[in-house]
Amino acid sequence: MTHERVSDTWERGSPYERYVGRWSRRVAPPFLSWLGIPDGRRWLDVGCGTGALSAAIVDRCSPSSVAGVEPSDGFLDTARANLADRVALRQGSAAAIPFGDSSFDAVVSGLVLNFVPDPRAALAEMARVADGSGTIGAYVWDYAGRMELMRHFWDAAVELDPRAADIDEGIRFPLCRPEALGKLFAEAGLDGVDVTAIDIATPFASFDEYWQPFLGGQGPAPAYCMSLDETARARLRDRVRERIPIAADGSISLVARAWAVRAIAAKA
Amino acid sequence: MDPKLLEILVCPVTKGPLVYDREKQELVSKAARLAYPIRDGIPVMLEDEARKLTPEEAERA
Repeated sequence: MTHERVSDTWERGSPYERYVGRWSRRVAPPFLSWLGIPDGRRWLDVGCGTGALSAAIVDRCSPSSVAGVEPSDGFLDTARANLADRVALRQGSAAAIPFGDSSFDAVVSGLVLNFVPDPRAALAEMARVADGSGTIGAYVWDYAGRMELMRHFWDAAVELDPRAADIDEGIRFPLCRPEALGKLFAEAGLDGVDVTAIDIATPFASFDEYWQPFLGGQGPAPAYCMSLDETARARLRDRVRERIPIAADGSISLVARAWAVRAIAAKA
Repeated sequence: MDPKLLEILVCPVTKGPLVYDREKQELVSKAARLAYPIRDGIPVMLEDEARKLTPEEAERA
């Protein structure tokens, strides 16, 4: 098995990669296993970003084709560098997917729906391009709950500075809760809506290893962290360290939970 | 481009068919009177990035 083949070419050095990209990629395999789509199917990855989920589909699902739609130039450049010959990339929006009706057997979206300006429009489009018995699936981080590496950070930050709540994804993204996700899918007229938690381990050898990625500046929490002056940042670091469970050997074992949702297009 | 995937590509505005202009590297939607550019092999299927067809082009398309 060569599951890591595509993923290994990722830009490992970037600050975003060290902060959350490396963990995001680990959610794709268990999500795809949970969907259980047979080999030889036509896939569409909506908001494919740098192509992490598409790469996992190519590696694990023996698809007959994979298409990816993404609005951002920057993400597409990375996606093209990583998988241009394996995934048909199209620059486009989730709310206006440039594919015909009933074109895909599986329409998926990873860590995207909460960033889409109109998730209901995106769901309507995902349903439109799915085949009559096609599967529609998505996952988002459990920002308000067990996305623990972020949760500990924001809980400490808000204690010290209530304005940090304006940036906390747990507050900004109410869609990232199981009830809200299920409701979004059900209201799109989909059948057999099912929501599950996908937990991955995010181990850190030391508190310093946990904290360093917050100094990289990329992503809301690192950007907030770097917007503080040195004194405030040190205070925040100490508060996070007080809250976080640290083992006797100095290591930290956290969970990053994503909520995954799937349904059937169920067209007449 | 994979011909199968080109076949199912539609205009994001009208969901109507597209005509591939190899010379200009554009995908033309007659109904929307728009031409979507293909940049570095990736069709840019965003309304805001599309070129409006001239009246003559719309006529001919």
